[in-house]
Amino acid sequence: MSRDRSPRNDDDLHARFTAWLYGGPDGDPPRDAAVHAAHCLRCRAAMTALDHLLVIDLGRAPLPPSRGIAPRRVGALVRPRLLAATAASVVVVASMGWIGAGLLAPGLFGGATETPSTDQGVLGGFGAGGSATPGPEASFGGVTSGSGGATPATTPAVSADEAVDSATAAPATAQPIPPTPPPSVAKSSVPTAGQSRTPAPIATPTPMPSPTPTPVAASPSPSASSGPLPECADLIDNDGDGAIDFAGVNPDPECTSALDDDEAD
Amino acid sequence: MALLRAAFRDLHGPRLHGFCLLVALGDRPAAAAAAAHAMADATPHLAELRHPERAAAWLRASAVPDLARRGRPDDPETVRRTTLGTLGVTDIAFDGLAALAPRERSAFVAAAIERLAPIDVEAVLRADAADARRLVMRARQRYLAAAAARIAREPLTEAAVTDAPPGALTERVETLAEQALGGAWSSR
Repeated sequence: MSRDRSPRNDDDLHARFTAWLYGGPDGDPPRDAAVHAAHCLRCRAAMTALDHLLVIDLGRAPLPPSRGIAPRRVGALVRPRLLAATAASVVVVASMGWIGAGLLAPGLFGGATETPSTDQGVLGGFGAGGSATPGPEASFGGVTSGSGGATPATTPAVSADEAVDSATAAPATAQPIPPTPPPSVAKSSVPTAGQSRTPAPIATPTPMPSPTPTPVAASPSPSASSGPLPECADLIDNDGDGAIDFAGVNPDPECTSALDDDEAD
Repeated sequence: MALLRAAFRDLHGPRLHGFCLLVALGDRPAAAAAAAHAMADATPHLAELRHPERAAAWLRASAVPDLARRGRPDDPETVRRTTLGTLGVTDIAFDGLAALAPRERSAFVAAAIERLAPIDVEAVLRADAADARRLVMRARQRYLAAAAARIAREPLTEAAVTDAPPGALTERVETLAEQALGGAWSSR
């Protein structure tokens, strides 16, 4: 107490003591820092705050319930990642289909101008594998084409993956012969109940879409086109703290869920 | 096998549940579900989880994602404070813990309250050594800032300091200061 302490020296001692606390107060602090801390109210407050932890006894908690709890399915742990991976792979496969169609076009149809028909052949095959009934009405859960306010009588909800599948298969199932609606239109026009789908009129050859898969398709929303992913699911370190997203190798602790749109807080 | 399971549950159940309660900040449904699931997940691995400390880290690692995923707590704050009060969590500690994100809280509880070894903290967080250390340090900073702010809101009188729980850390530092000054100084 009787020491002559300059404010600058005090600041230094304070900083050293604080650094010792932050690093985990194991061992002893430097003696001069301890002397400072013993009569610095802020340091004492910090020590008191840590001392409050010493009286916590986790063993006082009761046993957790055990009846009726089954081990989690592995899928429950990885569901968000699995969903994203599935959607991405669907997009990749669809893109590869388009690329394959481009390569096969001359061989099958004897001319580069026939590309749309070939596309449809390849994608039709791919899509047909996913839909049980290849009839014109089968796509999009039975929404009747051309019926105005068609009601999807027994239509189940269309998941994002199914929607992408169905949308990809649409050209083949909706109209067996040539026309190929632009794939971008097909993907972005996932139907909702009450929406009528009139196939595009025959024949404008459309340019090959970019095969680059876009993570937008991973959106679990049935109206799959849409806006940017939440910050906690976009694979980007939005707040620059080195941690990325809700799930991953180095998840960001500020993300409360994959739907959290703010990595910073 | 049933005997082994019961012994495992008795050995790890309460502390695991306590860990979950702290990370869930007193939200009983979330903590109970996470702890129960972690115990259930461990059941097929009992033979591999014989080392108590490794098993403790394994169980916590299994519970943390569940706890981090939870959104808004089901229990109101007063109930949560009371729940944690039964474990010895004071209002100051509650406010400090409330300032942390769930993952930070997991790191802080494992390292600063349960005092698990660094390797076990890494296992709990499923992080490498550097990340785990950084997370623990950041959590400690945020805890101290929030708890100290809470302490500062109250008049920090001599009585408030001396009425604090038997503070091993404070006592240690005071003893050290006293030794450094040759017994010329005492706070009390």
